[in-house]
Amino acid sequence: MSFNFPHLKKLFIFLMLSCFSFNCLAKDDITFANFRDIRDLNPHLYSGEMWAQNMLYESLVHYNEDGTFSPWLAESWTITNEGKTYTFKLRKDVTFSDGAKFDAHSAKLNWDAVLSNKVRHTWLEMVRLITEVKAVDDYTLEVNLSEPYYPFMIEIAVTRPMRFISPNSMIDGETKNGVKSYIGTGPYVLGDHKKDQYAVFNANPTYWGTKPLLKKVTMKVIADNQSRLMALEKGEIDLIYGKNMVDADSFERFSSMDKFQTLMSKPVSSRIVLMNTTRNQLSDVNVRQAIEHIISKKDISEGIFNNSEAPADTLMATNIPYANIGLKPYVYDTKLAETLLDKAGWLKVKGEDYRQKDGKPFEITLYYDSNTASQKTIAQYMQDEFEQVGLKLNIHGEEEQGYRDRQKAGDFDMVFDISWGTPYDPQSFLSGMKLPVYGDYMAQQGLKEKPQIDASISKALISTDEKERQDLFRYVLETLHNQAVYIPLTYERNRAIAVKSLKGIEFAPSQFDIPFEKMHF
Amino acid sequence: MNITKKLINNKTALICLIIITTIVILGILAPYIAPYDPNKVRIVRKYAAMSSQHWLGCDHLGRDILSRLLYGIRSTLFLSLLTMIITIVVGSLIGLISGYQRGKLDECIMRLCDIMLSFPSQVMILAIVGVLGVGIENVIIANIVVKWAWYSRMIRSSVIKYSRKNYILFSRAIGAPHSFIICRHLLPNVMSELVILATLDTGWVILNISALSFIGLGVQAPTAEWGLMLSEAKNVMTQHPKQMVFPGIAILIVVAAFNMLGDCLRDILDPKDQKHE
Repeated sequence: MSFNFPHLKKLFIFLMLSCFSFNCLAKDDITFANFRDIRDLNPHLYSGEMWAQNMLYESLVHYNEDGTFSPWLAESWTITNEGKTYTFKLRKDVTFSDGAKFDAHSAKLNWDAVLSNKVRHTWLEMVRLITEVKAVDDYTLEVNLSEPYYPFMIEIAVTRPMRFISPNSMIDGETKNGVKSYIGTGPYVLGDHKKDQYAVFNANPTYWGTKPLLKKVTMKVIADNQSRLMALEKGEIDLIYGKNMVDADSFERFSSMDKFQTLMSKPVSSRIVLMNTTRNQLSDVNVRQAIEHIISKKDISEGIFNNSEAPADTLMATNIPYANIGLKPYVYDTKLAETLLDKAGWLKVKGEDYRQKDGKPFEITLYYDSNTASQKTIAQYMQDEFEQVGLKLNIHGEEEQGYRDRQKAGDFDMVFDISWGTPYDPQSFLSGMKLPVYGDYMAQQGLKEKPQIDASISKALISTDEKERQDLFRYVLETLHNQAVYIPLTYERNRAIAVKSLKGIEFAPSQFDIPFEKMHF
Repeated sequence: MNITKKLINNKTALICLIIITTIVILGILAPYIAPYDPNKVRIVRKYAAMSSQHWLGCDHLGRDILSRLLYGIRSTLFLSLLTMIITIVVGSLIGLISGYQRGKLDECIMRLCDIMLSFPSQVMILAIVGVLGVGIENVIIANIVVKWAWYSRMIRSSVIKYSRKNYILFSRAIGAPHSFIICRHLLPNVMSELVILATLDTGWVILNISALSFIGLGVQAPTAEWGLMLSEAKNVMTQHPKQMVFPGIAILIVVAAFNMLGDCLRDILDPKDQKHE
């Protein structure tokens, strides 16, 4: 028996070549981890993951980092009738991924579907103000408002609810009772999806714009912070992206590793704690102000976030529109806090661990979302700060849904919260305070200024006078600051950890989006 | 007594006893010997390494790990022992009544035990804590609810075994009161079995309370508890694996000590052995 050498040689060369060619072909699929399932991706409702909705659906205009707008599904637009009529010229080459044509008629169907579900969109002042959506011709869409409304363009640009789903996916021309399928015009289409396990997004072969370089995006659900990091380290996933997806210490560890790159966005939103002014112990403004004075934001920023998140002095960072109004921050001063507490009648009593008033000890609870990477640590830190001035703070972690329901119901003394970030701040965030959809509404009920706060927000949104609008926003932000409803902690940043070979990782203007279309290997 | 002598002669049992006693004493003395306040947050010292000031280093909030371990004895070990004692008292009382009384009452109690025992204990505990809400009190209640039936069963069977012994029958015949028979004749006999069961089971209860605290259902922050400490250390498992070591070892030692002591006690107190002597 003898070996057939020429054949062996050929085989060897073939193997070499195939290895070589595999290396040459750039990887065009990516796996990343999310802490939960994509859930319901109906673009007109709020229970889906926003980054996923952003991959599937598109808006008429694109909101840019600098606050301007560029064409997207609309090629151009005009604003007439003193800001009450918007006319959009739509692109003619757009189809939904099921083949349906995108034109003024399907756009009208979509927006009418949103408008028929007004109750659900009450935070969006615009929905109340739109009087008519009209398809002037096949590619011209006209929207009439009852009053000029300055955030209109921003609100149609954001991920939800004004984006477009294929008319074929609607149920009886409506979307409020669910949709048949998640078909949009976007660069990706939803492929295989297994609830609470994974979801696959494939590049849309009929996409009208620049086709994304990543042909396949797979999302794996990994709820635990450490498991996510281990999955990344083992090569099971390529990317971790998001605000609460990784703690500062792990981020630092990965930034020193050769195989990985770490990126951080500009500050995107405010990390805050919301105090419920309707609760007995927190109804006194002196108590709330005292609490503001016992939290050292500098310690939180340095100790917990390793300086990656700057300490926050005010609810809205000064670079947010209308928020640069020179508010005086609450400085860390436990002496002053104790004076305020004495003034409020919460006195130190001999033999008791905590301050008392009318024979009852001071005791409140702070609720946090147990899935987030840092809230618990901050809560524990605050617990100790409270202890030092003789206040008792219990902390209670919950699953995300329970925590959200609790916020909505106003069933809390204190709770972690965030501002919505650009482009929602301040207008949408403040607008959301007016209705019992978020914790803010319930928490502010104890303020006697609450009716005026709501009225001022409503008025500011439809005001055409820049100065009047500024004055109204100033009133709202100033009142909330002086009444100490929010404890601003830090200004959050979006974080990403990825394998080194992944390029083009960027941060979108909205903190909730992930720009996969720009990524490539 | 004979047993004490045997216990001292058995090296493993002696070592386990010494370990457990030492830990109990450390727990009692925790406020005097712990170098720091276990809940004192000093964020600047976070993850501080082992040093002369902090023998075992600091955790993610800069709290002294040694102090937390010492105070943790109080929550982990003492609460487990408390749970154990209540369970035994409740379980053996019901077992005694059931075994001594027999008849319909016995039937009822035993069928109730059957129901309780047919549920997997962990699932049952989770269900009870789920209904009552998180917190160590509820974990203790759940443990008792789940475990009493098991003890009642054991105690009942040995009570029945001893009730047929002649000296008890004689005692009954001369009209000794029930309380006398139970206290003087039955209990001392049953006690030895009870001690073995309890010792063996304490390890299980410690693990259980720690496990429930680990998943956030038991002891609540900031109380120092070993399971909770492990849970917090788990969050930094990759960056600071050292954080898991000390609470982990502490649980290991205590549980192992109780289990081995239980085994030894069983050997020592085994009535079969005594016959051969």
